[in-house]
Amino acid sequence: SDVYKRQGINAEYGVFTTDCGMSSEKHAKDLKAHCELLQRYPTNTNTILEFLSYVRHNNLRRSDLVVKHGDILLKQSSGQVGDEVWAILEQVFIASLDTNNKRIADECFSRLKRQFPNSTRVKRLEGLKLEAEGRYEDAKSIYEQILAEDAWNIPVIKRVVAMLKAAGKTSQAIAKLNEYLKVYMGDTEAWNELADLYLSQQLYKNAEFCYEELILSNPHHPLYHRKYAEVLFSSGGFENYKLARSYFSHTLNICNPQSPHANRALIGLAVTCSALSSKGKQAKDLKDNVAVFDWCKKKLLARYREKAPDKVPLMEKVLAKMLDKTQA
Amino acid sequence: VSTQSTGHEGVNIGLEYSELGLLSHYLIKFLSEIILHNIMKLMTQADKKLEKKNIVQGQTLQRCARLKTNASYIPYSSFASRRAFFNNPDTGLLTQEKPPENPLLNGPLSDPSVLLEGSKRNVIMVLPQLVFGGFCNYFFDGFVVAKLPFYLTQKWKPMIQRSIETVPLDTSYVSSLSWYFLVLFGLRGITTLALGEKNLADETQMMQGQPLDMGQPHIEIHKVYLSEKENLELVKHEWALENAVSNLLNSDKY
Repeated sequence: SDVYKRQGINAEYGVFTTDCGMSSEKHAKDLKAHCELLQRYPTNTNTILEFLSYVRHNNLRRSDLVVKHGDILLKQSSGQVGDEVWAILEQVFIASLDTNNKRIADECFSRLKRQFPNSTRVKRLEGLKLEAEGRYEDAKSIYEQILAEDAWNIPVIKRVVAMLKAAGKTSQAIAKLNEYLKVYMGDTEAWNELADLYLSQQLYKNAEFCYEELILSNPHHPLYHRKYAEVLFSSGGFENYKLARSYFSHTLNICNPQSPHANRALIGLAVTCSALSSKGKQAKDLKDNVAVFDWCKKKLLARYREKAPDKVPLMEKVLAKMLDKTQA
Repeated sequence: VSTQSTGHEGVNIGLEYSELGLLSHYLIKFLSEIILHNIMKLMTQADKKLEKKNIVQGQTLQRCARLKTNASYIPYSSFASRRAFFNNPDTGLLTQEKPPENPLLNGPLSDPSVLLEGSKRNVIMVLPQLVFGGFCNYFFDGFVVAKLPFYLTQKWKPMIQRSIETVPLDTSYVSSLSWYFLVLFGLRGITTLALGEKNLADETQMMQGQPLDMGQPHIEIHKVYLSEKENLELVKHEWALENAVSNLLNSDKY
């Protein structure tokens, strides 16, 4: 539980906010309600069933709670579970791999294997299990077996990419993911992953392409605009800084002021303005640059005064340094 | 019960036996609908394996549509390069498809596996109909089976009183064939209740006319691609973020 302390969460049943803020914003309230119920009735079959199905259908990642309560549920062997038990076994299995709980993982896997001895889906879980044990070569051979029968088994292809990424073979992972995306062009999750891979290799131009693809698929999501702006800023250059400025502003225009995007976009905007101003002669064309920077500074300091007043002097120093560059 | 007797008495006496017969027919039809439904489910699962080509085509079209709709959110240079990616005369995605050499060969008849699936489906649906029709006629030959609550004109007599010889009988008394049709249409309600979804073995839907239910093959993909290409050429790119910065500064949001 000191993991939770480190992340600033007070209770084990608190709700995490992740960096991209995509699913957790939407689900925070519902998840909180479920967690409170779980805290009060930790062994109630119905409560656990609802929690597990909520997490499963919304693709959330609360492996700690899933393992703890899933284990309780599976030991109860209640008739209420019915056919759902296989989906729950799969869910608890994956969660127990996540939390490194070997006993529960083995139990779940043996039950699944007994019931579905010839299933591709269970075979993939077997591959996952081998990966968790560190036996990457064996896992790889299982995935290759599956792909030999069904070359476009999407979860297995994604698993292979994840394995290559975990093994550090980023260029191979990129190649495999590109191959996949040539066919399944609409998979936003895959484009996101590809962008991350490119960024880890500092291939900014390619990452920009991925984020453009994501913007095209969902132009009203602030995350994609913000990340696109951040990559443009990292690439550098006058044109890119100008574009980045516009995209940061657009993010602020479309995002919820309370969301994590707002703060990051404000800081990004401030940094971009100061970077623009340091471009010398060309920057003189942007008469409003200083005005934008001042606006950002005001808003940022107001937010810090409200949420983290002890950090205000630090922020003022940082912004002042940026301001020097802007006015130079 | 024979309809050669005077009429009402005979009908009253034999009603218990004929009731049993009718009920059994009803039950058998109901159970067979369920069985057929499950068989059809097993069969249609085999069709779901799309070829890679179809997937790529569908995805390309979706990607094109996304580009068209949301082009204004990306910078002009990115949009231009994507448009070139699709429309380039040599290497563009949309220009790769050539029109088929023999237009007759392209279409549902050319694909033997699809044709087989379609005919298999038809046979499976038609066979029980024939079997039950024969069963019905054989067992209930010459019997008055039911009394409809409404009168039809005399012209309908040959159809609804197929095997009954007495002439002056009311048209509200019907024979087995009309019972068969009544059961056919009446069971739809109960089967939707029992199976909870669209009944895959529903013959009435077949009768409503689904002549070419053979999947996608005869959509001419190169024509679709060509029209998409032209649509892309016509897209006017207006960058939506032109005034993003000034909008932000003038808004009250923060």
